[in-house]
Amino acid sequence: MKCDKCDKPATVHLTQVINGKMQKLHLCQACADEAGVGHGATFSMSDLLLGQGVAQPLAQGGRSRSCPECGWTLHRLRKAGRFGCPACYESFEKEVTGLLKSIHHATEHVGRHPRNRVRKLSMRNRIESLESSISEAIEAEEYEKAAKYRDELKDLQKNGHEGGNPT
Amino acid sequence: MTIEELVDAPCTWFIDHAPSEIAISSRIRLARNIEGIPFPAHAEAKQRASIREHTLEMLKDSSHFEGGSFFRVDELTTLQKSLLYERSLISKDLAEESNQSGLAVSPDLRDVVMVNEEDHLRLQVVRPGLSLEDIWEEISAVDDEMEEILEIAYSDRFGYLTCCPTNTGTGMRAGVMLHLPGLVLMEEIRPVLRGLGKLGLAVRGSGGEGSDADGFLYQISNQITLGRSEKSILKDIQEVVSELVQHEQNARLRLEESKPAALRDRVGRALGILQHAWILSSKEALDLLAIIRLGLSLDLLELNQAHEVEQLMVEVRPAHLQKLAVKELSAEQRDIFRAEWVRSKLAELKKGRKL
Ligand SMILES: [Zn+2]
Ligand SMILES: [Zn+2]
Repeated sequence: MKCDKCDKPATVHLTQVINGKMQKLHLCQACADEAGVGHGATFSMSDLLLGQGVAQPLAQGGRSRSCPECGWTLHRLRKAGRFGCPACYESFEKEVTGLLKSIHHATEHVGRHPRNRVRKLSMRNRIESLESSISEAIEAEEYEKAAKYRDELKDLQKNGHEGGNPT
Repeated sequence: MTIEELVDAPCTWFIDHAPSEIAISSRIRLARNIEGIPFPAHAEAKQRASIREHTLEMLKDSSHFEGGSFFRVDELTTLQKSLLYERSLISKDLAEESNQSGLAVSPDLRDVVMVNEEDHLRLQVVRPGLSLEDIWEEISAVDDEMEEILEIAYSDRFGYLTCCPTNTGTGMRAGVMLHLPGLVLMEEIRPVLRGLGKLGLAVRGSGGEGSDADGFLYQISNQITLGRSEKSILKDIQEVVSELVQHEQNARLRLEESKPAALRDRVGRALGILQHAWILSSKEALDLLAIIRLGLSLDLLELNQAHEVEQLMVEVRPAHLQKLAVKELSAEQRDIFRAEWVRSKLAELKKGRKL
């Protein structure tokens, strides 16, 4: 059996339960030592998991990349298994995708989103949302509000998106 | 509400139910962060302080928290922080490390926002019983309001951006606290816990790990936060927990059927120790009270005010006991005082006992 990190024969075999799933890890002595798992020391699973995808760019780049927003480095991400700021997700996008996949077996969010984001969504969504606000306001007999929404809708249809970047 | 009033208020989510209730309480928490600011551990003290002041100020005027309680956690005493922790109002991490962190509690004590825990904001709603759907409605409304006043870090692809990748996506951790003495005493708890792991749910004992849980209390919660909607995660937990509750009911009945003497022996001894012990650790007290709870649910015992047992399960915890003692106690003195407190309470409660 080959080492999960390099191609040497694996001599250290670890079993970890992550998120209720058994995860087997096969490492050669050198990689196990590097990860500090050869001697029963504690180790961070995220380090190991991330390590598989991260080792290459690290070796190539020579020094650790960092997040331009907050200065958090890839090295710290590997060590701590934590981010420095929200922008880190974009700064380390490739590694983040691998990390999320190993934790959640998914890479795309499904579910709730901030309400004010509706404005940043597509024109179509914005128009739909305004239309439903109008009918809600009318149902509640809040005609002033409804008129306001209707004006917004007219503006929107006339000028396209005002400054927002629809995605 | 002052901190004194807050820690004196009854722990409704823990005591508002009959001793036969298997699902003790449900909780949902949402991790949220503010766009453009480093996560608390990486932010400067000044940034943390300004997030705290800003957020608490905003919350004071919000519909959910208006008239509630607001604290700078680092200004509280160690005992007050431990009391808040024992009441699930703050996390253990926040009780231990509270620099520039804040706490907002709604007037009905159900909605909580922790500021500068691992994430900038942690919203939490706790209610008695199995009520994840109701809690979801409530916490969504709180979340809506937060999003109106703050620019929340969110990406269309990854969802809510959190400090730890284990929370990315929904940022939601939903859990139910279960009382499972039947499964433990029938020695069926281990396969059940293993099965839950396979379903992607985490199980934590309320004190220790695995089956060493203090008071046979187990917290079941989701692990996955990315790739599945909140509603589908909640539905899964709700279903699994309903099944577990049935398992536990069955286990209790089989216990009564297959080992009637052993069961009565266990309940009788628990009562005997609680009534006569002079030294009680927190774990021993909780375990024995849990057996009393089981005895009450199977109608083996009769106490005139059974819900006082629930109250006792809160009072025997270290910080609450310290508060009842009024003066500072060493660990040894605390165990002695705990035994004394339980003896006196049970003397008040003692009525007919069936067994
Ligand atoms: Zn290797
Ligand atoms: Zn960053």
